[in-house]
Amino acid sequence: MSNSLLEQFIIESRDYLQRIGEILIALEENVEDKALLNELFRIVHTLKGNSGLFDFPSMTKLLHASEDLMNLVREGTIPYSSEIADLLLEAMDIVSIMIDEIEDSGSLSHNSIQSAEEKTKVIKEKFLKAPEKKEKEILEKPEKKEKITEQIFDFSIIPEEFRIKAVKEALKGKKIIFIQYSPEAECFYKGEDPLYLVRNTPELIWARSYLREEIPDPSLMDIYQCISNFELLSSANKEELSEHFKYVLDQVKFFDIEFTNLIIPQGEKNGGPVYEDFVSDARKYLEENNIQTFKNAVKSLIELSSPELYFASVLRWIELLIEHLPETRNIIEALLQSLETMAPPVFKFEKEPVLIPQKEEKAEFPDEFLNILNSQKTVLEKLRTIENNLIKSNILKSIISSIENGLISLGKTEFLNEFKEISQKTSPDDFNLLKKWIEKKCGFSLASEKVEEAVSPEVTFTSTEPQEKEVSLPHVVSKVLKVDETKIDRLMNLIGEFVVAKNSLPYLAQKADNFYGISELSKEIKAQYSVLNRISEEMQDAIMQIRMVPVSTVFQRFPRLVRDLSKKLNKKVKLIIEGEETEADKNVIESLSDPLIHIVRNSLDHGIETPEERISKGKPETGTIILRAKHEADHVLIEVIDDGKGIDAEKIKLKAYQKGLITEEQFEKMKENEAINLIFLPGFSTSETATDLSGRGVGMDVVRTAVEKFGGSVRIQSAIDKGTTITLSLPLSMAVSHVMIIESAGRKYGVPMESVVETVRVSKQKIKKVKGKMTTVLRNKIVPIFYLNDLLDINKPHITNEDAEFAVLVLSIKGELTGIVVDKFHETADIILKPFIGFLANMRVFSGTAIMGDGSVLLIINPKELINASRI
Amino acid sequence: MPVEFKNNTAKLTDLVSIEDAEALFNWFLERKKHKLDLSELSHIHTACLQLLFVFKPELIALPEQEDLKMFFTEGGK
Repeated sequence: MSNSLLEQFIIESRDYLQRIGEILIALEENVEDKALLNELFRIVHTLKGNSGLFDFPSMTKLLHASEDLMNLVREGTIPYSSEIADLLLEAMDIVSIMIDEIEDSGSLSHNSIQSAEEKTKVIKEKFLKAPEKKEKEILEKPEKKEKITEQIFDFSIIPEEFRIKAVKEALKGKKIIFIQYSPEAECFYKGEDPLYLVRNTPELIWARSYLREEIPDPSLMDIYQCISNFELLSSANKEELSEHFKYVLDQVKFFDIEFTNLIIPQGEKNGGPVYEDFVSDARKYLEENNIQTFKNAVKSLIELSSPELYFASVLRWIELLIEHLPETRNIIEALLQSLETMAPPVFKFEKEPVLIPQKEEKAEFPDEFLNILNSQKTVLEKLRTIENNLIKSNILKSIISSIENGLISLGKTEFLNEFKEISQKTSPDDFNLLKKWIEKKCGFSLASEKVEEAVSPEVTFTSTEPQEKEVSLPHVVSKVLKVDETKIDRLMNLIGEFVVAKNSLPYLAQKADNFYGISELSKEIKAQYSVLNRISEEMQDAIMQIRMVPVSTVFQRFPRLVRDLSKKLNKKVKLIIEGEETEADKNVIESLSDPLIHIVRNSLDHGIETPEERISKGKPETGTIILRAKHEADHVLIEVIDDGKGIDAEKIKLKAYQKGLITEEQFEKMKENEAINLIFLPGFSTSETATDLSGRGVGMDVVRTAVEKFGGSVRIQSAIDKGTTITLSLPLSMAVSHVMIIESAGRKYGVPMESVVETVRVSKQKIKKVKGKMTTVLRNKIVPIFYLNDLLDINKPHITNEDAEFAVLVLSIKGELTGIVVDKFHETADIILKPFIGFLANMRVFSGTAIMGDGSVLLIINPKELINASRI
Repeated sequence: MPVEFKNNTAKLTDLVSIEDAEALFNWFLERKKHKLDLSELSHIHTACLQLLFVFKPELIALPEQEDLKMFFTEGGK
């Protein structure tokens, strides 16, 4: 199986699972929404079908059970309840975990298989047990079909020796199963050998192979297309057989058969008096229960008669059946009678033959379904004009699945099987069968003018081909192109390198002018550079656009989270999501996910009060959490606002003091605002007991670290009993960083612009030592001063300008102003930051490097770590 | 060599795989009369098996293995 198929499956499944989750939650509010229920069923059905392409039976089983459950809900057999929603959501969670595992390792872990099996059992026991009758009904239908098959399939073509073998097995108490196996045409390409599979069927009694297609001109045949069908008899049980054919289950049909169907005497029917004597003797033996004599008589007669005779054949059957008297008495009697009449035996207990023509009865479909057929037909007709096979096969798939779903929902299993056969034979190159089938079904129930209507698009099509193509196909082919993220990352890296390469042109121009003295060339290079520059900027912009995703991708999981948690906590919470269309770089959005979960959990657990508490406070019973996203300059702001009890600054302060996180002095002096920020300290938690959700003291500091890692910040505002607002601010894109270039000890460094507050010149005298630390006063504020050379362990004094002033870069680090003395300020630049990897990754003082236009490497300082380094 | 051609006769031995399909197919096309000896055949890939059904050669010897033989006897066409 090709990897790309699996990749596609993973990508699609994620989308489906997402949508399933959304629908399940939406359904809780609007149980009656038929459209949603149908969509839900369809998606689960598709997902199940897709999963069947791969060898993950436990996943397919779970999806199958879920699909059955959804079907019952959809049919109104059982009402939708939050119990069902929980169950289905949990099932989808398991599937989601499985998808992750498949992506990581290509296989499923034992744990997930086990939980899937358990969940399947739960679904089956809880919901599918009672309506088992239904299942039986469904099962019964194929049984009826089996009868038809018994009528259609002529078991007499099976050589007698094999039929005798089968009946022997049946008389031992085994079930005989007749299998029709119709391998798909492309199966050889998958490395399959149907004959090999058939020959290894457990307890195989007999098998044959035949061509399912006429080959008019053998010289033109495609020898790598499978055109063989197989028919088998086996006495293995159905489970074993299903296991054996598990990879081709869709191509195999099993039929339980009555062994009497196999008792077909064959041979030359030249009548004679001997027979009559034998018949009357035999009846007497039977009557008298004189089995041994009967046996001997049969045996000697077999030896005497020519084996080709019909008589001999009947005898052989009787010889076999005698061993199992008295159960087989009826059968023996019927065989004896057939000797008299020379007509095939009629076994008394055989059920009334089911009329075969039933199948050919005209199809009665509701108009809705006919409309579906019609529209699919229209699409099918346009398929011819599409060149791309991939698109074609996708469209075909969608046509097939919509018709299949229609048939399933109509409960027309007889047509479904028929249709499945046809759809298997359908390929992008040959979908005539499918077309004919649709036409036939339409034709049966549609008035003639309706048929015309359905055909007419083809007529108009030739004249207005190009427009038609544009107008009618978009709703079939999605215009969204799904691309693997790594491909975009590669593009991103490439454009980064391109920008760097482009930046070397000005240096070259300079060199041409200064070094080689060709100013003409220098000018031309500069002109070329400006063109390249424009293009590269546009390219960069375009790639950035590709990476932009709406925050809804992160937000969409919250309705579920809030729903589950509020239930668990017995709280009533309404979640309002605003600005979910706000876009930001994919990495930024992804980095938001974990911190946001922490925050929302905290709000639910610590923020929102229980309904009783809220009522006593005079607040509405249902709490509200608002999740809002918006753009602010080049940042995206995410706010989580709750109307809960707020954060008690005093309590926080006390707690922090008790835990030794702050000193007594700090405790006394700390303002409310500062106190609230204490919750960001590692190991802080006010909750007395750790709950399932939060309160283990790993909450807010993790949030802060995560956000800061991506160059963002967290703000928190809170008022007691009014609520809390937590604001995350993250850069729109992390691909290009804006840095200020500074120089120290003859080397250049970059400092991220986010942390640069200002650049000032401070005269030597103004830097004073306070308690061993260098400080200066800037606009009436005391600012600590650090020397970059000291911080970087460079043993050189900093240079001052003519006025004996230091160049001081004022940075804001964790909200505090800090002055860093450097030698020189240079320009600012947009760089593409490459983080350190390998051994250098531990060098925290620098967050990475960037390559400058002249090819030099710029080290990018990480201001926070720089100051931390000074403290150690 | 699992397939040995001798003028109008081909002898299939041991395991005839899908790789032999093309050679077999060409032989069927080139010759007007086809005789097949399957006595030493132990398995034949479906792709080759269906060629036999398409070209209906004369089988001068059936496979000795019973479970393979049945595909070429009465039930097999």
